[in-house]
Amino acid sequence: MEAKHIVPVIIPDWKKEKPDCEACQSTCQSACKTSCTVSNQPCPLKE
Amino acid sequence: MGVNPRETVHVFRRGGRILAYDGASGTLHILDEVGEAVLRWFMDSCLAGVTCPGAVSKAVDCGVGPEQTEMALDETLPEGLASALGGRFSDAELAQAWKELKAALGKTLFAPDDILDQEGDEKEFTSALEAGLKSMCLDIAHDCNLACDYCFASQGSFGGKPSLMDEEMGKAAIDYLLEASKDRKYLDVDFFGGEPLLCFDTVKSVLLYALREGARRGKEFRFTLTTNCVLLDDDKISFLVDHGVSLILSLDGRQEVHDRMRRTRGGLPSHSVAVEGAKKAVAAKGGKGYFIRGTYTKHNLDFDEDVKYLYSQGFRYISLEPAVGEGTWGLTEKDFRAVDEAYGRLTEFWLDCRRRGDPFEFYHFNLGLHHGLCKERRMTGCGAGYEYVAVTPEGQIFPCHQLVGRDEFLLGDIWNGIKRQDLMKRFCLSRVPMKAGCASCWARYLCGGGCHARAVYSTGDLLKPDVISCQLMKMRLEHALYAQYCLFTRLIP
Repeated sequence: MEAKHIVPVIIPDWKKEKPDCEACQSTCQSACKTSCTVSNQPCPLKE
Repeated sequence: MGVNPRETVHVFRRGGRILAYDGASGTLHILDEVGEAVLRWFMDSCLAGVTCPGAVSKAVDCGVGPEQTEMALDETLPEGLASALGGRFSDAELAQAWKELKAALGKTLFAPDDILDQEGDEKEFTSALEAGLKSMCLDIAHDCNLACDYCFASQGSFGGKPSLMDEEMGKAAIDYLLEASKDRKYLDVDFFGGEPLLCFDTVKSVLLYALREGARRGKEFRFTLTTNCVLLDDDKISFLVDHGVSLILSLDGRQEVHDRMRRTRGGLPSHSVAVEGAKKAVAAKGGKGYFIRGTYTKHNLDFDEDVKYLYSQGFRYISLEPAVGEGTWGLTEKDFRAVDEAYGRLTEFWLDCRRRGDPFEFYHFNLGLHHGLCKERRMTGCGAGYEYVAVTPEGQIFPCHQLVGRDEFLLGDIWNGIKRQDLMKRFCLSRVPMKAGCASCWARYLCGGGCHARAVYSTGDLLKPDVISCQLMKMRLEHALYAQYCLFTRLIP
């Protein structure tokens, strides 16, 4: 069935663990400082 | 913890599009008028009173929802739906949209939430404590050459006497991080202040020491430096570039906006010299490895103009944060309409620049929707207090740079380590599943439960996020989701 009224556009792959996860988490922290109040930003190593 | 399923899916309109975001699965949907009407009908009629944690599709099995939920899901076209929307849409349209909604239930809409399903599993949530520190904010200077009105650090001194970190203290802080990071390989250090360039000899010495000791112990450091740009000169820039230091450059935008808040201690404007310093540094870094990090306040609610100004000056990595707090500059709900309109114009500008082939990064539009964030970041945001700490020029350890100087949050010091394990655990457990207001929220895994420091300053409770920040976050996320929708559906290159 091809949806036309309610269409998922971006379905994330959250559950897939990355081998570089530790590096990824490390990078998040610098991103945190960039925004200060908003820390939950994508890690470039995962993109 | 009770979850209101109606809040976990967010339906909104931006840029003439109708979008629906599912907080549990992170799926973004595009709807038409029929789809929106059917989804809203389902949320208002079938989910009234449903409090089943996790998937709404489980509501039927759980037996906690109204009987009509179970009945409706089995029907080709529920009678209630036909009678509610039959005047607006044909039976065929409604039946098709209903079929699509049922196909999405429990998958991309009202999906199960693996994280919330771990509720009560404290061991799962505190395992991060065992992993050790990974990031340190090194307060090189509790002093500043500027006296910005909105500064959370009391113009650099953090409410105490101005002080500078000496080289030996900085090296001792690195030693502490190396030890406290246990088996982690990758470590971050941010040279912060006040203004760290007031004490650049310490920055240089500590950085070189960290590289040397890190290599000896099999660790890799990444460095950032946050500066107001006024003291950036060729020698400093050269050192920072040569050692791959990422730069966070504090500029607010247009001259009158910047100089209203960011003046020297003698009251002189700083805009011209700061912009020139930033331009030099960015050029030396080849246009990468930096972010302009500005602040917008009640005085420049048209902050999209400041982003445009920064773009016109050649900057392509830009972040502007709202000023939230008690000052006359602090945003309040009265400003939300203007802020919302500014984000709308900013989104269009962001899209236009991409269409013209000269894009820029706006930090808060980078949601990483496809791959998503790692689980820990979705739950907690920054990791302050247990993965990330701030160290003062005197060697004291605080949970983050914004809580420096608050004695009740003093974790310990770099010679004796963490004395307040209880406090560390409190920070570790201040995460989405533990926050009553966050568990149902559609934005929970895009924001991670908000800023701990803002919660402390606003509500006095780590588990109660600041309401104003929350509302601004959700507003900004709507624009960001719309921007990402345009990007991923190739409405723009």
